[in-house]
Parts: sequence; C-alpha cells; structure tokens
Amino acid sequence: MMVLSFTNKISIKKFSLIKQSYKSSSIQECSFSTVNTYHYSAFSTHNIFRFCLTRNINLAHVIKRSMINSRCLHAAKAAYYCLSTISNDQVLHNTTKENRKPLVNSLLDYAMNHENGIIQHKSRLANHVLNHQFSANDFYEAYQAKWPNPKVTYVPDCQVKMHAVAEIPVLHQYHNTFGQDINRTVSTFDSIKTEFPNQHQSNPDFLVYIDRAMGLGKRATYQDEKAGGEMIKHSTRGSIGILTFDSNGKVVPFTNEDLTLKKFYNTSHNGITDGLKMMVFLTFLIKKFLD
Amino acid sequence: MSQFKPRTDDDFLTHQRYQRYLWDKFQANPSYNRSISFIFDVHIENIPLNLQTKAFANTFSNSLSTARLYNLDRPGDCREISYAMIRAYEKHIDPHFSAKIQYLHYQCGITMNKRFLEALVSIIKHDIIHLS
Repeated sequence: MMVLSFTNKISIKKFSLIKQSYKSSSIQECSFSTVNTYHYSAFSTHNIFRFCLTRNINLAHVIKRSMINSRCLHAAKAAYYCLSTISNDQVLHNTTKENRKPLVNSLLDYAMNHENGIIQHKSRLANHVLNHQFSANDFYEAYQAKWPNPKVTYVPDCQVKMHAVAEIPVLHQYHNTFGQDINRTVSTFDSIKTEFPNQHQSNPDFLVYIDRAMGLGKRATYQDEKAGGEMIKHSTRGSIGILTFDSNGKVVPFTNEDLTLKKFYNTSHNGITDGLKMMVFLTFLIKKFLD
Repeated sequence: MSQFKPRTDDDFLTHQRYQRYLWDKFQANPSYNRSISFIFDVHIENIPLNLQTKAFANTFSNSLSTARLYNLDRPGDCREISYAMIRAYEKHIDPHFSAKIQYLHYQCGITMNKRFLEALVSIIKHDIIHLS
C-alpha cells in the first residue's frame, strides 16, 4: 500500500509529476522536508529511489543506493579499513582543527586501494561514519602528489563530503583508460550548472575536454559518476562507474540486483543506436553459447 | 560436481574492446552531441585475511542478521551496522577506539555522523553500567 505524506500544497503536484515520470509503482513511503530546497524521498520495498526537487529545477535525479550484505567478506573488510583509516594513531597525531590533510590523505589511500573493499561499500561506509565537509583542494592535492596528472583539474575552494571517496577512483580509472585522448577533466563537485545538447544531467561531476592527436577531434562533454546500482539500471547518459570482480570473475555484490556487463550494454547507452546495442548483446549471447 | 564455471578473461577483453569502440566512434567524435556511459572493471584477488581482520569480520558478521541486505539509508539498519562495527573493532583491534573518535570529533573538529555517534554513546553507556 502506498503511503504519502506532504506538508506543502505545491509539493503534491510536483511529486505526482515526478512519480508519473518514473512510473515507480513500488513506492511505499514518502517523506518531505525543506531547508533551502525542496527535498522529496520515496522509499521502495528493496532499494531506495530518492527524488530530489529544488526550487528551480523541476526534476533532478534518481539515486539508487548500494547495500551491505551481512555475510559479505568484502563489506566486512571495507568496514574494518574504514575504522582503521580514521582511528590510525599517525593520522590522529597529525590532524588538527587547522590541518585536516593527514586525515584526507588517509581517506584517499582508503579510496584508491581496491583491496580494502569495493568502492560502493567504502563510499557508503565513509558517508555513514563521517559527516564532515573537507576542502576539495586537500583531496586533489593529495591525489596529485601520489598520482601526478596535469590533466586532472578541479573547481577550487569547494567543500566536499565523502563523495570524493567514490569520485576520485572512478576519475583515476577514466584517465587510465582514455587518458591519451583527454586534454583535461574538471571535477565540479556539483557546483557548476552546465548546458549541453540532449543533456539529462544538469550538474555533472566531471567536465571533459577531449583533444585527440593528429586533429582527429576536439570536443567538450561531461561525465557523471555513479557508484551504485543506478550506473546500470537508471543510468543517465554519460555515467561512469566501477564494477569490482573477484578472483572467480564474478561481480562483488553490493545490491540485490544481478549486475552483469551484459545488462549494462542492454539497458544503458541511451544515446547509442539500437543496432549497436543489438550487436553487443548478440556477441555476448554467442560467447555464452560457445562457453 | 559443481556446475560453476569461472568466466574467462575474454569477456573483459570484449568489454574493453567495445568501450574503446564507443569512445573512438562516439564519445571522441566532435559531431556526436551526447555523452556515453562507461563502466570500468576492477579485478581483486581473494586474499586470505590476517588473524585480526578475520576476527573482526567474524564478530561483525555475527552481530548482524543472517544473509540480510542492510541499507544505510534506513535508521534501523544504520544503527545495527554502527553497533556491529564499533563492537567488533573495540573487541579485536583497538579497545581505545571510542576515545579516539571522541578526540577526532571534539578536539580536531571533524564532524562525525549523528547516528554513528549515537551508537558510540550507547555503547559507552552500556559499558559503564556493565562495569559498575
């Protein structure tokens, strides 16, 4: 049974519009709060679909959260390393009210080391433990010190929460994979509103300037980091994310969805023609039969 | 005999080939006016845990309900995860963990999550009552 509660007349109309847009029939509970922006939450049975609505933007985004399995060793590992990261003696000794860099360094190491747990668990747990807003400069200066890359730039003097724990490793992988064609990426921390043709994401995480060698193409576009199940099922155009595979070649689970690479090709890439989708799908299908 | 058959690296190579194709033909193409989604695959080895981490993992898992998916957006789940984490860490790794978190919160001005702090406070209260 659907339970909805609102405290504002306008919000009912707007929320019904959002609900119709996403056709979410499994909504059980909806809560509403207002500080500076209108904020709606709609809780479904298994995973959370959160609708965010601001005063100026009609429809912002849907977030599908990742979850933690009580028997998952990777989750336990992420929990262990999360607590050891913040309670490390060396970190506590050097961190002061004026200097948070030692803690930021430690958090960056935690984020970048995939043996400490998968990125989805780590970002959720770090968000769960810490509520502090760190300087984005500290995060990216620490990153540049360890992995120097002049192509990685950011909007200076922004405050970030634990999103950086999820964003920086994805950006690192992005540069490792396509770095030779990239002129520059700018991490925006959702502080810049952008307008690109056919854009669904109005506040993307990264602006990307592509400049291929031999004058093959110059282009400005955007990418948005997605860490949870939404990177496959509810992916907007231009999402980037990481899937972690264990020794058996299976995806380390972080949600009750069955995540596979085949699903990714089948459901996302909204901008790609159906022909290409079909080609990729058929290739995976043929390979499955051959195996 | 188990029917489980591990994947080969061919799947990942195919994935990388398609991503490269999508990048070359679409994402890096100036006449294409949208943005493509990409997924990067990271591979980790199932390394055996050391004794301390193993003890932590056992206590952490045993404090939680069997084979349940916890969602940290739910207050109840959040509380259970916090309890399990703090209890296991204090028991096996660092008995002064609570004091360190308090130091981080009050002396260093690092704001901790409210629910995590609530769990920490109730554990401290429980320990004081238990000891007295």
